[in-house]
Amino acid sequence: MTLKSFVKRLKKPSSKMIAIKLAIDDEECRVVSFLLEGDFFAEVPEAIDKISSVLNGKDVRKVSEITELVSDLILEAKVIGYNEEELIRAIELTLKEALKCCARH
Amino acid sequence: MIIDEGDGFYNMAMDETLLYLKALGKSPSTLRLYVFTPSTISIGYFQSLTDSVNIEQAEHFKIPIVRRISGGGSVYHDSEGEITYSIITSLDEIPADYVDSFRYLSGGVIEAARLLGLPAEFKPLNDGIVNGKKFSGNAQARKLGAVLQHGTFMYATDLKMLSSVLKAPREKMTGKSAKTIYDRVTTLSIALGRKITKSEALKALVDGFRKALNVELKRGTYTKEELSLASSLKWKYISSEWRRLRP
Repeated sequence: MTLKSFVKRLKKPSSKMIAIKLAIDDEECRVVSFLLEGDFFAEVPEAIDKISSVLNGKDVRKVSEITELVSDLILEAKVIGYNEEELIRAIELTLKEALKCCARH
Repeated sequence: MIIDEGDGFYNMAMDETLLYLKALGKSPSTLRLYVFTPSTISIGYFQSLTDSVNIEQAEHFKIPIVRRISGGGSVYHDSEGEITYSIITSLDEIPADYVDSFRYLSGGVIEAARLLGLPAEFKPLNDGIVNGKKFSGNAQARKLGAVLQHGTFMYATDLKMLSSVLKAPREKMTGKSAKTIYDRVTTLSIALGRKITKSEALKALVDGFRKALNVELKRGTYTKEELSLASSLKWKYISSEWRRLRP
């Protein structure tokens, strides 16, 4: 197993910073860890935590399935200063970047 | 209103305790004014420990680190230069809009700085500023219909220490002309051009919150239930698992 890490940072002038941190097993093409980090606020922080647990072990090749899973939780989390589309798009881009590194893609 | 002092683990445990007990109808709305003894670094719930704190420097100066349940950024709570406030109340007592709620609950620190003679303002999302520099950072957590907002009042914080133990990610500087923590942050003593004492700062906060919230503040003490739950919750804050929730 080889771990590969990807970080995408979002920062708007009037908003807080969010870092999307994704680590994958590039041989199995699976998510090993997924974290949303930063100095941001979310009305329902538990929904952000749940994203990490839901994505662990998921097949990176199923980008649309993962994005769908994440969408509801992002909506539930109510991240202040970012709309759902911005966050989901950023997560999708991070997954697609990781997908390029999968050995069996 | 309760005036308090203790280590960071206790302080964060007590804030969480009051939030839950308020939500359950077992504690009244409360204003806490407290000092972190010893000086402590607190980090936001979503922050990476290593991205937000210079661990080597914190260990060198023996400064404990505690993760909050609230969002927001990392803070250096100087026992000789900063007083923290927390307000715990019901969501239906504050403005529904998130920014407005920050503005409303931060009103006491803005008024306190004004009472000391400074042109303080609230800057969305969550800062108190004077002369364009931050002297107060504020953070919220919401649970079960209750809200906890806590924030800083830097009357004489050691900014050299602050800039050595906290990290500000490059991305955080986007849209801000300043380049370092030191350039973006000030203390009320610096802004005023004279040393503000702890008792002076405390009096300004009491008067500031009374004026901003337009309420009578009655000095109180913790109930047995509050002390007991805070004592239990403290172990979470001490644990490395909690501190390293996001390593």
